[in-house]
Amino acid sequence: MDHGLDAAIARWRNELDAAAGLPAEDAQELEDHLRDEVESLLSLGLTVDEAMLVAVRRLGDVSDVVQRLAIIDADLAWRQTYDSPTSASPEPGANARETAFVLVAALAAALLGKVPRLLGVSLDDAGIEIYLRNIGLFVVPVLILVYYLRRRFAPAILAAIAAIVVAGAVAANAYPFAAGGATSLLVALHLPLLLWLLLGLAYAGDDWRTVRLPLDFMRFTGEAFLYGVLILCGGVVFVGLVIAFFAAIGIDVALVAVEYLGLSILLATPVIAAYLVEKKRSLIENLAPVLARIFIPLFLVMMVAFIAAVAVQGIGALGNREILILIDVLLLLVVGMVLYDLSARRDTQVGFGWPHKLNLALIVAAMIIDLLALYGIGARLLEYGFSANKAAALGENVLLLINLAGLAIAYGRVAAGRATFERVLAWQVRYLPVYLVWFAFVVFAFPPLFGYQ
Amino acid sequence: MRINRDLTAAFVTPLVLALLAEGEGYGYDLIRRVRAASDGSLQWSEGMLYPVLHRLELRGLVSSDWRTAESGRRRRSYSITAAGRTELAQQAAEWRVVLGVLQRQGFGVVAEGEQTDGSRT
Repeated sequence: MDHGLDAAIARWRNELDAAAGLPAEDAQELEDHLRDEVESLLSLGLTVDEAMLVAVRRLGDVSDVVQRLAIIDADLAWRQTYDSPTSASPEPGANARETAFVLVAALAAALLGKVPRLLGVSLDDAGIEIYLRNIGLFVVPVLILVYYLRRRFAPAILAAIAAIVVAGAVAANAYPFAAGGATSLLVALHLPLLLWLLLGLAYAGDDWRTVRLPLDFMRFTGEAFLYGVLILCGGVVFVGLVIAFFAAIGIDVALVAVEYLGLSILLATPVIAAYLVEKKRSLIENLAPVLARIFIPLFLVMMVAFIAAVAVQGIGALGNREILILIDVLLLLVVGMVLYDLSARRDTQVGFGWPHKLNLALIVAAMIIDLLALYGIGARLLEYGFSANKAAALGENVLLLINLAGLAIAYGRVAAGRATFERVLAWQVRYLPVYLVWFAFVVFAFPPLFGYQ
Repeated sequence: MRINRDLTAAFVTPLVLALLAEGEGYGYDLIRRVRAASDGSLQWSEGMLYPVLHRLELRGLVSSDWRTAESGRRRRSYSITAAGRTELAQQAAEWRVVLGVLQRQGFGVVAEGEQTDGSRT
């Protein structure tokens, strides 16, 4: 009799799994429910067949349960994130107000970009370096202020952020940089990164010690980047058309268009992109994980082929010192892709399936390439000494390598069943401050260390 | 008695939170407790309850754990979180206002007497 029951339930479960593709946990939960129902019916004296019939019928429109559960699970991905208290009950007029607010913020960023111009700095060869070093300062403080106004976190956090932003502004403009020097370019590259991490602090606000909000900020970063690229594509077309149209009637507006229109669009883009990410989440929110899923196998194949090629050519082929920067980019992409994929997957998939094995393989391959490169370059670096560029590239390389190693270990623990995917993500979040410290070090300490060259 | 969909949607969250505030439970158990608490007049369907539980978990108001029952079967057991208790207190305050108004408008009396309209007069 019991045997008949188990068989009947197994049949039902098979149908459920085949029809729904629910996460195993949810299906198991429904099966438990069905068993409870059947047992209580059996105790009333029904036969197994009768009990099954009634219980299945009561569980009801399985398709209905499944459909609703599936919707929630699909939402899980990154949505398991910040729910602003205001989002629940939008009042009339709130939309228009918010749009106006964002336009003002975007305008503020564009106007900040005009400050150097007012101070007599033009976009010529010497001036452009000043613009580059300050580019993050035109945009990110505006965004930080937007998040402060929106979330009203502790003033102490704002004060800490403001102090670093001001210090960054001073360093970018008061240091006596040599024209065309490497440290000037490094500051131009690292100050925006430092500021962006500070924005992360503002984004998380009072919850900056949690895992969820910093994690959400990483999602935010990836999607704001995608939005930004799309908007910039439009901007380039727009500016190009403006120039072409006026050129057609013999008026050369190229310089003016680039300096006023182009720069304004460039600076307003991050503000608008950030707003769009928050506002129109559903539009693009699954794009980053999908891109990651498409490119993870491609990158894996590329890296394995590269490792094979190095094995054939000999490790000396890795002697080109510029490859460090190339590898930094690769490692960053790997970290990003794995995180996006993982964040989108962790809830909808139970167990350690092939997508996770693929991710782990990707991490390991990236680490192998990095170690090979470090081994190949190490001797030469010591021989020629460290320039500012090499030191920065090497530092980032080591940071990313540790990051990947941490991810690999955390991943391995999941594979061994001794940790959850949440732990992997938590590890990543706890590692973020290391980057913040390093970026600050490059911005503030590198120029004096390398004589502002 | 059959409760219409909109009303059910409105009170299912506070009721689930209130039940879990009394003690953790799994889905089947919750449906049974609702039935008992309403003397059998509320019959919740699984089609409604599980999505609600999952959504509450998503919002961080409840958390779930797989427990092994005495029978050896593993069950997903839900319990209320601190955020859930805050939300419960908030909703309870709102409901007290709503129920107070309804009672003053005579709803409480009608529910205790005959349910047909105008039977009191």
